[in-house]
Amino acid sequence: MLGNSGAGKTTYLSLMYAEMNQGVAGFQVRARSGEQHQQLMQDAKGIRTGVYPAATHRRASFDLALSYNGTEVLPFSWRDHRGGAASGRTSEAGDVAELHRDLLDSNAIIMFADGAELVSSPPAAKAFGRLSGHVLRALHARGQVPTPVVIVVTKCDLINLSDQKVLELVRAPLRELVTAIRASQHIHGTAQLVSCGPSPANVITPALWSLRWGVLGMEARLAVTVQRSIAAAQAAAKRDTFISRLRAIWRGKQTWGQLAVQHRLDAQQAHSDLQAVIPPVQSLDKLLADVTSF
Amino acid sequence: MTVPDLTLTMLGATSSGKTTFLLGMYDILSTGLHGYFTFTEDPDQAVDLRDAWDLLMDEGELPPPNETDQSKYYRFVFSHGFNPLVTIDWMDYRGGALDDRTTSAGDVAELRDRLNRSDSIYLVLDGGNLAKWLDDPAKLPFVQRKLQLRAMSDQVLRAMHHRQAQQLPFPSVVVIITKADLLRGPDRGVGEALAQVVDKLRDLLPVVWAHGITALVCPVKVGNFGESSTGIVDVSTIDPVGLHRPMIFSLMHYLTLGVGGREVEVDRTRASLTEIQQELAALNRGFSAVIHGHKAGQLKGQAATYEDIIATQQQDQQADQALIGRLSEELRDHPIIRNGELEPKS
Repeated sequence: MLGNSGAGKTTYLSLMYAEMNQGVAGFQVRARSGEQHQQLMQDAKGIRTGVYPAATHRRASFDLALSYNGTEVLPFSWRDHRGGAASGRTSEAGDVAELHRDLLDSNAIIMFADGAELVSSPPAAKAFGRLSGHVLRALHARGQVPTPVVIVVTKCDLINLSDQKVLELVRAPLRELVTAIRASQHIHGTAQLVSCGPSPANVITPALWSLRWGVLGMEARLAVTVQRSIAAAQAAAKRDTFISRLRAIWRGKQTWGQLAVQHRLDAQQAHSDLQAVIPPVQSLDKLLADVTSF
Repeated sequence: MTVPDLTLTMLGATSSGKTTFLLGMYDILSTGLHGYFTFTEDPDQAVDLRDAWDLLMDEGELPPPNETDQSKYYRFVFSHGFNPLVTIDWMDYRGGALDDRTTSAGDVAELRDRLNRSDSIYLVLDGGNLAKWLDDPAKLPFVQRKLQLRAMSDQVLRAMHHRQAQQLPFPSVVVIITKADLLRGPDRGVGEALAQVVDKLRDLLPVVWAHGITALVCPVKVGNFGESSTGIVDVSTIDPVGLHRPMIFSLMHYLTLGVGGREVEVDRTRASLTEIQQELAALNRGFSAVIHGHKAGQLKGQAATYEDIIATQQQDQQADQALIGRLSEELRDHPIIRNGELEPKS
């Protein structure tokens, strides 16, 4: 998560976790640590009564897992940074360097903009625009790695989005980045309006949309593993001759026949894992069918 | 395609507005303009530039002159969206660097070496001082001295000679007229004033009109600050104009040189292909085809390789030309001097 101070990152995380932990269309998010589960649930409960969590003072990392119909599908780590880290110097605070490192390593980037501030304060619009520099720098260094980028506009319950002027004030600071993502072949984006107050709205979509890319990536990797393992098994089987077996026994190594069996087992395991991933992918596709992506 | 690396050097007299121009340019391009973005490779440099700009935006505080400071070095990436176009090695020389009285021999040698390596040189002129000269032509010596035009011209000429001796292309030159709002006079608008300045650059900065040089004259402003261009300004008058264009021009010129080079490469590859095709045609005549079948096969393979190379070279050339076209849109109606001729406005 990347956002300026007060954009609502920690509040969003708590509410998203609480809703996803209850289960949504068969999907559930769970924290590995009981302590983190308690903290997120407690914060979410407080938000619903109007008590917001304190600002994050240092980077927090939450080890979570997405499951579908009770089976774990995707373990993931969710990083919550101090808002000031986005505008600080690496030489002044360790967590600033950590933020830049996380941006380099992340499989998804979720950017936060305070909707109420975008409407009322031009400097806030500028401050959001500057986050683009961090994203561009990180993605430039990564090369052509496919990366989902979600722009989350928070506090939408505090602004009148049916007013075209207000809507334009929200859209304008996002426009250059959205256009850049749209033109890119390897960056995928969506912009989501959310409310993270006592009556939360749309908090599920940004997380599920990002996780969908993680699950899709896993599906693609498993499909490649199946293909490669089958090819390796066939190649090993072809080399499995009487002489090669004797040579392997003499050298104390596995025979080509044994290797072929191992590769076949690997292919079976990957195929079984792949079969398990297909239903959640289909379900996520259906669930997010109406979400506009660019 | 690999991202080209461009060396850029900015020169200008003390208080000409170099640093303010740089801050404004970075602020505009870091959040994106017309699809173009710039970011520093070092995130801390972005914070330095942002903080200095915010001081101007919030408190009206202009950056202090660099004369007491050190020359500043930056590494930028200039991109169109997420597509990096060029990395820029940028040196902002302190104002005093052009003044022999305040510069050590080591600094002079460093500046010369830097200019010799520069693909693009920015010469920053204070529009307020130019306006004084437009108001009263007798002030020419004063303005020349104040803007350090002779020193700038000498430095660029020296770099040109060096590059010519090394058979390197000349750098592009951007004459950045800062505080362009001050060019306006009682009987002239900014446009008329600019036309006069461009014409009179023949006397002021003759190097700009030299054969082999391509130069953009680019008026820019950060705000309507009036004469009080140092210290504190009224933040409500901040109104940046044209700050992204010098970088656009540098890239466009750099790519144009590359396209010229690629044309030569394509012609050379075509010539080799034609030779092979002729040799192949000779081998395929009569009995020769039966005897030299093996050699003919080899030549066919070579011809196919050359055809692939030509296709790739042409693709790269087309991509560059498309980009040059897009970039030139941003410079529409700006005076460009090429080989001593003012290009007709598009």
